[in-house]
Amino acid sequence: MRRALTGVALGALAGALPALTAQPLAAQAGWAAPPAWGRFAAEATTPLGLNGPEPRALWPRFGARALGVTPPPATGLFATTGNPAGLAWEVERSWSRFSAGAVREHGEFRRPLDAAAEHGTELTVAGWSRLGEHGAGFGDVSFRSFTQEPGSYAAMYDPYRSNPFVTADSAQPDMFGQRVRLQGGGGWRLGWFGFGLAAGYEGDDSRTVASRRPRLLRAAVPAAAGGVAVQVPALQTRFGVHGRWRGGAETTTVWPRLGVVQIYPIQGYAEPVPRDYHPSPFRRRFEADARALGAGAAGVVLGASWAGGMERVRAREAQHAALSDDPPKDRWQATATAWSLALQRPFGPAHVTAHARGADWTSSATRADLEGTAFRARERTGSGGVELELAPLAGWSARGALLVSREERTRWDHVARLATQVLAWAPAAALEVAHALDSDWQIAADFAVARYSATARLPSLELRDALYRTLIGPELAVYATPAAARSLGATLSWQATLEAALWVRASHARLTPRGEPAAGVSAESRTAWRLDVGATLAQRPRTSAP
Amino acid sequence: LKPVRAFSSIRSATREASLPTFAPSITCRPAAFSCRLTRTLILASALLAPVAAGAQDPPAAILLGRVTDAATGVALEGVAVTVEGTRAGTVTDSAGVFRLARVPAGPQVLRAERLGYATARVTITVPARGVVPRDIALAPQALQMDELIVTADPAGRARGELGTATVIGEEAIRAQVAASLAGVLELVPGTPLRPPGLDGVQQIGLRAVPTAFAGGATGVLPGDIASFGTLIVLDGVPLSNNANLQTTGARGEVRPTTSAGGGIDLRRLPATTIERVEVIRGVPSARYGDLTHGAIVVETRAGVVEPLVIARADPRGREASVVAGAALGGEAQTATLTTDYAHTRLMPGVNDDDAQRVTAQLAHRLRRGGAPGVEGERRGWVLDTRVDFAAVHHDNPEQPDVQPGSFSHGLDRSLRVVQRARFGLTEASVLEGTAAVQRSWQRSRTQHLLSRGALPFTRRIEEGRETGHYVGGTYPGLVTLEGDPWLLYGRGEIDRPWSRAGLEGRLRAGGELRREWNAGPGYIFDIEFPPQSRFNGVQGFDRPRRFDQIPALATTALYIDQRVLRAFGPAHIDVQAGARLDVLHGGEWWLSGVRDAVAQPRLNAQLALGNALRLRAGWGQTGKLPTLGQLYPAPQYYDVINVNWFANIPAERLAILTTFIRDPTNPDLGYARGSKAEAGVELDLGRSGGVLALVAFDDQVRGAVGVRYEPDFILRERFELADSTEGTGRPPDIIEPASAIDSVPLLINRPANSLRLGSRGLELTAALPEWRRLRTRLEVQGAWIRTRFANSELEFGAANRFGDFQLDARQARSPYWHGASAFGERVVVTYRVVHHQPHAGLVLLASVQHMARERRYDIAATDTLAFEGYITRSGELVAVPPERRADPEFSDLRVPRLGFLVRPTEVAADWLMSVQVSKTLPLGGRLSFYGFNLLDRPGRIGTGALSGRPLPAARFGLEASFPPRALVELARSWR
Repeated sequence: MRRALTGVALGALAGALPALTAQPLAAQAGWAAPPAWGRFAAEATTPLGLNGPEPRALWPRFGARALGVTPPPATGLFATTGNPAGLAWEVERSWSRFSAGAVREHGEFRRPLDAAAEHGTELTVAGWSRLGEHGAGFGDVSFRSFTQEPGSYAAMYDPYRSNPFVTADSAQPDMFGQRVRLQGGGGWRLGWFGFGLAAGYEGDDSRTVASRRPRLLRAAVPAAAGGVAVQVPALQTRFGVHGRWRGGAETTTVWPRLGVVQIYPIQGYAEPVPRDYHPSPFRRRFEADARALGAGAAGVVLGASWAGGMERVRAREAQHAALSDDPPKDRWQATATAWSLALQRPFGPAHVTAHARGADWTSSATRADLEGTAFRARERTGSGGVELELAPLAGWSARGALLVSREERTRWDHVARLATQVLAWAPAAALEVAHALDSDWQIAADFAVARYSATARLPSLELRDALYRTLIGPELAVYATPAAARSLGATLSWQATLEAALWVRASHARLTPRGEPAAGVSAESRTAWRLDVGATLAQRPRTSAP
Repeated sequence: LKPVRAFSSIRSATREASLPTFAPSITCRPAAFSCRLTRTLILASALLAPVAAGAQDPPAAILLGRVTDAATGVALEGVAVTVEGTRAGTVTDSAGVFRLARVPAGPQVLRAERLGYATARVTITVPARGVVPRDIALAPQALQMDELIVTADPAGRARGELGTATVIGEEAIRAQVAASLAGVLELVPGTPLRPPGLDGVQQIGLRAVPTAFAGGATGVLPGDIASFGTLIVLDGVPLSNNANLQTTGARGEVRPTTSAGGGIDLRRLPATTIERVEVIRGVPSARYGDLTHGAIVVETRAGVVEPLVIARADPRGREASVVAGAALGGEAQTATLTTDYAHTRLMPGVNDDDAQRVTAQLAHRLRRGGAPGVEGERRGWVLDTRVDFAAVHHDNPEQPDVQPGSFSHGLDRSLRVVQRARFGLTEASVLEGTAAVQRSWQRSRTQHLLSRGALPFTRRIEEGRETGHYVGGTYPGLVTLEGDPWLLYGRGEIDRPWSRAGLEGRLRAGGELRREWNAGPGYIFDIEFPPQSRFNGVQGFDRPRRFDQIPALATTALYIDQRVLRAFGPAHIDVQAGARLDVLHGGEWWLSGVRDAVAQPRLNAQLALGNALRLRAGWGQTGKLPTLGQLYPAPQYYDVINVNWFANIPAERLAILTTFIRDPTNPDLGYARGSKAEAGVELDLGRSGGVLALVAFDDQVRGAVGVRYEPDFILRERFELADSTEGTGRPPDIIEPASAIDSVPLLINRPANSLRLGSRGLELTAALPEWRRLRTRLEVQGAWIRTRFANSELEFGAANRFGDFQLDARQARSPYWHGASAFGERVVVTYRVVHHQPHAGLVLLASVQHMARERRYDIAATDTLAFEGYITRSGELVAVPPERRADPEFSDLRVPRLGFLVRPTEVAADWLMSVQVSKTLPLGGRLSFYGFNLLDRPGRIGTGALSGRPLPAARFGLEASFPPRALVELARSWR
C-alpha cells in the first residue's frame, strides 16, 4: 500500500514536472502579439536571450499562458537563472509540441519605425526530454514567414533596441521575411555535480516584395550557454554558475536600382542627416557580441521550491559600412546586472508561483566620426508577479495571475544636448478557466488586461527639425502616452490518446491609448490576433495534479 | 529480463478485474526512480483500464507495455509501436510506455521501430478483451555512432574499383542538405561548400582548382576542361554533354546561360532521389571511359522503398520530393517512383529571376531465379528498366523599369530510357547488357538591348560581293537556341570471378557503343539584328546555324579489366589491371573508319598489411572526346567593306561588302589524352576506430581542346565611285575593276588539341574515433591542389590590338608570342563534427570549411623582348631569333604583352561554418534545420595584392521528411 501511494505521488509529481522545466519561447510569450523571438527575449531559459538590455516594447506584458496548451511556470536553476546544468534535475518526463499558427497585427497606435501592418505564419516544434539516466535536454525550432504591408522606414531589424544607432530610409516598402530559430541544450548529472550546455541560433532573411529600391536584410545570431551545478543534500539546495555568449551579425543592403535612395542614419536624438545613394548601394553591417556570467541557487524550503540568481552582462555592438577590412565604426557598449527569483509551492489543490526579475544597465555609444561618448543611457527594468493555478475539480480548472512591470529609462545625447526620461508602470492581471466537456474534450478561455502609464520628460517637438519630428519624436511620445491593453483567448483541446492532445487556440488583443494621446501619437488602437493549431505529445495525464 | 516484485500489485489489480493472466517483465532496477515512475504509470493505467473496460465494454483488448533499451534498460521515448496488419499504432511516452487500444483478438505481431535501434517484431496472442501487457527491449543495433554515417566513407571503395574513391551512402546523402548532386559532392575533399539551391549552372571538375586566365587568349577555362573530363554515370549509363551546342560562338555578346563546353549541369540530378554516389578520384578501372579527371557513379533509388515525402524550405527556395517503391506481386518484381520539384529564387527582393526543376523517375526491376552473380543461388536473370525525366527551367524576366529589353529564359528537358539486363551464365559469371537512349530538348531565348553605330551590313550567307545597306541604332538582340541532343548507348560486359592457385580474381571484359548527335534547329535570330554589335570591318556578324546539319559522332570502345587478390599471411596484395581502347569514328556510324583512337592502360595496386594498414598506388591513361561543337565548329564569316559611302541622305548611301567564309573545322582534332597517377596510404582502425587516408596525385591532360589562331588573309578590293555628288537622290556607282587591292590578315579560330591542364596535390581524410561518452566524432578533410593550365599555341595579343593591325594597311606586321601558363593553388580544409543523441533521435552535424590558401598567377614573358616573331599582312609568320629582337628594325614589335597576372595574387584566407540539426519525429519522420554560413561571415575585402573573398550570404531553412504511413498511423492511433 505504501508503495502504491508512493507510486501515485510520484505519478502526480511526474505529471507536474513539466511545470519545472524549460519552456519554449512561443509558449512563454503567452500571447506573443509582438514577435516574441529569442534575440531580445528576457526569458532565462533561452541561450539566445540575455538578462540585460531589453528593447523598448510597444505592447505591455500580459500574464496569460493558454491553459491546457502551455505548461505552468517553472522554477529551478535552468528555468529561473538559465543555467543548463539544472536541466538534469528539473526535467523528469518528456513533453513536446507541434504547432502551426497565423498572426496578424495592425493599427495606427505604433511608433514610426514599426510596420503599419504585419501578418505571418509560424511553425514550431518544441519539447524536452530525458537523455538517458543522467541527462535531460530541451529544444525547439521555429520557422516563421511574415509580410509587412506596408513596411516601415527602418532598414534594420529591431530598431528599438537600446543601441541609439538606427538606419532608416525614405521608403516604406512592403517586406517579406522569414525567420528561423533553433535552440536546445542538455544537462547531465554526475553524482552531486552537474553540467550543461545550450546553444541557439536565430536567422532572419527579409527583402522588399516589389520595389525599385530593393531593401535586403539579413541577420544571424548564434548563442551558447554553459554551466555547472553542485547539489548540497544537507541544505536541499543546488548551487550553480553559468556563462553565456551571444554573437550576431546583421547586414542591410539598400539597392537604388532606379532613382536615388535617401538614407537616414539615426544617431540618438540629433537631427538625422540624409545621405543620397545612387547608383552604388547602401550597405550597413552590424555586429554584436555579448557575454554574461552568473550564479544561482535552487532548492526546497518548507515544501516550496525556490530559485534565484544574478548575472553580470557585458554587451558590445558595432556598425559600419563594410567597404574595407577595418572601417570606422559606430560603437555601443553596455554593462548590466540582472537578477531573478522564483518561488513555487502547492497549497492543497492550488499551486502558487511567485516570480520577480530585474535588470539595471548602463550603456554608452561612440560615433565613428566623433571623439568621445556621444550617447549614454541608464535603464532599469523589472517585473514581478504571482500566479495561482487550481487543480482540476469537477471538470473545472482555473488559473489567475498578477504581473507588474516597471521600466525606467534615462538617455542622454551629448551631441544633440538632449535627454529623455521615461518611468513606466504596467500592472496586468489574467484569468483563465478551463472546463472538461467529457473525458476527451476540454474548452478554456482566458482574459487579461494591462494598463500602461508613464511619467516622461521629453524634448519639445516644436524645437526640433523635420526628421526628428517624423522618426524620433513620435516614438518618445508613444512611451509618454498612457495605454490600456486587453487580450481574449479561447482554446479547444481534444485528448486523442493518453499521450497526445490536439488543440486549436484563437486569441485577440488590443492596445489603446487612454485619454488624450501625446502629440504625434495616433488616438486609434493597435490590434492583433492569432490562430494556432497544434498537437501536444506525452502530455501529463489529466488525472494528475498540475 | 527479471520480473519486478512490485508488479504483484498490478497483477492483483488486473485479477480483480477478471483479466487474463500475463507475465510482465520490466527491465529496470527497482530502486531507480524511472522504474518506480514506470510502475506507477502502468499501475495508474492498469487501474484505469478495468474501469474503462467495465464502463464502455470495449470491443477489443488493450496492449500495454514499456519499451526499453536492451543494453541499458533505459526507457525509450518516441518508439513507434504498431500492430501489423491493423490500424492500431501509437508512440511511447517519455517513460517508454505505450498503450494500444482496440487491438483485434487473435495472434498478432507487435512491431516497434525507432531510429538507432533494430526494429522488433513480437508475436503475441491477444484475447477478446482486457489488458495485455507486453514489454519490448530494442537492441541498439544501429545506435552506435560508427553506424551513423552522415559523412562520406573515408576508406570506402567504389564497387569493383580499387582507385581512391569517396563513397557517399544514402544516410549521408539524406544528412546532406542539398538540392542537387552538386551539394552531395561537397563531401569530396577540397570541394567548396555552397548553399542548397539551383543557382546558376552547377558543374564539378575533380581534382582541379581555378587558375589565372593566362591572358584569356584561349577562350577556354580550365574549369570547363576539368568538368568536361569528369564522367558522370547515372544508373549505369554515362550522362553526356558532348552534343550540347547551346552556345552562340565566341563573338556573340548575347549569350545564354549554358553548360555547353563543360560538364553536365548537375542541377538535373536532385539529391533526394539519389541512393549512392561513388566519386572515383583516383584511377578508374578500364570500364570507365570518356574521361580525364575521374568518374562519379550515381545510383538512384530502386527496389522496395517505403514511401517518403521530403520537403525543404528556405528564404530563397522550396523543394518537395516523393519516393515510393513497392513489390509487384511478390519480391521478384518491384517498381519505384521518385519525383522532385524544386524552385529557387536567385535574387529575391531584387528581381524575379528564378530556377525551377521537375524530375520524375520510374524504376522497374524484374528478377527470375537467383540473383545473378551471387554464389549459392541458382542461375537467374534481372531486368532493370529506368525511365528518367528531368526539366530545368531558368527564367530571368524583363524588368521594364530597370533593364528594359533584357530577359532570358532557358528550359532543358531530357528523357532517358535505360534497360539493363543481367544474366547468370554460371553460378558466378554474369553477362550484363545495357542499352539506353536519351533525348534532350534544350531551349533558350536571350535578349539584350544592343547599340551600334551606323555600319555597313550584308545578309549574305554565301561568299561573294553584294550591295549592302546601313544598320545602326539600338535594337533588341534576340537569340533563340533550340538544340535536341541525342545519345544512343550500348554496353555488353561479361563478369567472371575465378579462383586458382591461391589467387582470387575477377575478370571483366566488355565493349561500348555510343552515338551522339544534335537534331535541333540551332541558333536562330534575325540576321539584321544579330546578337552582337561589334563589327570591325573584317570580322562579320554571326549567322544563324542549324544544329541538325551537324554530323553525328560515333565511338566504339573495348575494355578488359582483371582484378587479382592474393593473401600472404596477414598481408594481401590486390591488383587491378586493365586496358581500354576508345575509337572515334570518322563517319556517323560505328562501321565507318577511324578518326582517332586512344589506348588507355590502367593499373591499381594495393598492399594491405593486416586489417589496418593499406598502401596503394595507381597509374592509368585516359581519353576524352571533343564536343560536337569542337569537331564541327560554326563557319566564320568575314564581311569586308569595299565601299563605305555614308551620305547625309539615306537614299544616296552606298555600302558594298564582300563576304568570305572560312571553315575552322580541324580534321585532326581528336581525343584529349590524360594520365592519372596516385599513391596513398590508409590507416583503418576498424569500425570503432578512426581512419586516416593520405593520397598524393598527379593528373595531367594533354591535348585538351582549345583554339588555335591560324593565320590567313583575304583580299580586299577598293573601288572608285563614278558620281558621288550629293543631292542626286541616288547612290553613286562604282567603277569596275577595283582601283586597289590589299590584303587583310585573319586569324582562323580553329579548335585544336592545344591545351594542357595538370593538377598535383595531396588529399587527406581523417576520421577520428568516436568519443563515445559524448557521442561525438570529428572528421577532417583537406586537399592541397595546384593546377597548371598551359596553352601551347601562339598568341597574337589583345583582340583590339590585332584588330587595329587588320584594318590599318600601313601596319606591315604585328608581333606574336608563345603561349603562357596559368597557375592556381588552393588549400581547403573541412572539419566536420557529428554529435548524436540516440535517446532524443538527434543528430548534429557542424561543418567548418577553412579556405586556408588560394593563389593564382601566370607564368609568361611579358617584357617588350618577349615576342617570338611577327605576322605579315599576308598571314605569314616570321620568327625573330632572341638575339635580334633588340635590333632597331624590330622596334615596332617591342610592345608590352598585356593581360597576365605575373605577380601572384593571393586570395584572402577565410572560413565559414554550416550546421545541420536533425531530429527524428514519431513514426519515422525527421525534421532538420540547416544553416549555411551560419554566422553570416561576409568574407574579406581585398587590399593591395590581396584579393577579396566575398562569402556567400547566410542561408537557413528547414527540411522535413516523413513517411505518409506516419500520418495514417497517427490518425489511426488517435481514432
